[in-house]
Amino acid sequence: MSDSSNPQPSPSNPNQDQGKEQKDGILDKIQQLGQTNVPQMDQSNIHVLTIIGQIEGHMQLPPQNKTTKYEHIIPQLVAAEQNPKIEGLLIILNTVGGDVEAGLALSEMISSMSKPTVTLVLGGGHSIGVPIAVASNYSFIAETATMTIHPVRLTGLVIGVPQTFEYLDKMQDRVISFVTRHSSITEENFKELMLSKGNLTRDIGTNVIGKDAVSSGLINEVGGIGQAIKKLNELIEEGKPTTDGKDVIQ
Amino acid sequence: MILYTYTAEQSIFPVDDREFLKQKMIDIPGGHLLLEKDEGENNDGYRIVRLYSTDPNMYLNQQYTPGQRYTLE
Repeated sequence: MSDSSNPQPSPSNPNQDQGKEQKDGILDKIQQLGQTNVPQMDQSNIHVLTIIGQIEGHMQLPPQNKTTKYEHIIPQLVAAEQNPKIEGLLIILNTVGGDVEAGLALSEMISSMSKPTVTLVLGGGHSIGVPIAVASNYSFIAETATMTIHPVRLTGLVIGVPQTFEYLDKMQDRVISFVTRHSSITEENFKELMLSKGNLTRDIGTNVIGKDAVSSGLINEVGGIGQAIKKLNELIEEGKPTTDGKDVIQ
Repeated sequence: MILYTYTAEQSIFPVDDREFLKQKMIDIPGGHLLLEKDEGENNDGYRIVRLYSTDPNMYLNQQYTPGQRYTLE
């Protein structure tokens, strides 16, 4: 009884301000993320790289385009390789493709990393997304995800000489050799997918979906984020130096 | 108007240079932030468009949530 008899004078102003700010924050969050709170977690030993939108090369794309800029991804890959706390890298792709040079640069960076890497293709991993998808130690593709395999194209001013065609052909060979070296698809099969007619509307190439990508040997397995993280943890465990049984048991 | 062409859209309709000025990329510890000028009450303010980082923890940090206001020092 005696507790409730003496209500404390409330410092009304600061509280109200805080309440307003908090409310604004929640509104912002609902607007941007569609939810009010984001989950919290501990320090992660797995880092995630997202390759989203168009892969931007030397030409800067307009700001309204969603782009993956190689000058931002490459330093991140270097940091991931150098940081001893990072034990594995998960690469998530949902890309329409883009610049060949930039795409191959990212693929080479990912494939030459000493730490375990796993890629997951969600939605799409088209054109130059294909070498990035196969660059990792193990690759997954979502069942509904697609990958378009097609010849190298060029827009803009082109000098109409046979050498231009030869240059494009060589560029294509680099893509083909990278993909065949880093996946179990044969050069013959990949070229067949790349140059087949009648699959894409008025275009040369093939659109492979989930299971087809696995059966052609391009991707290792159909799966999602759960399997990808599980596989990455397995690869991390495999890569760790084996300790003596005696030391482990306490 | 429907254009039937293999030419990239931006090579037919050049992009206004001012579009590029609106956005800004800054470095933060552990990654980058893509900011867009907050056209509203004050002109100095920026809003976060996208966070570029490999650390999944940074995406949970309220400070770097897209849509959050950001002031440059």
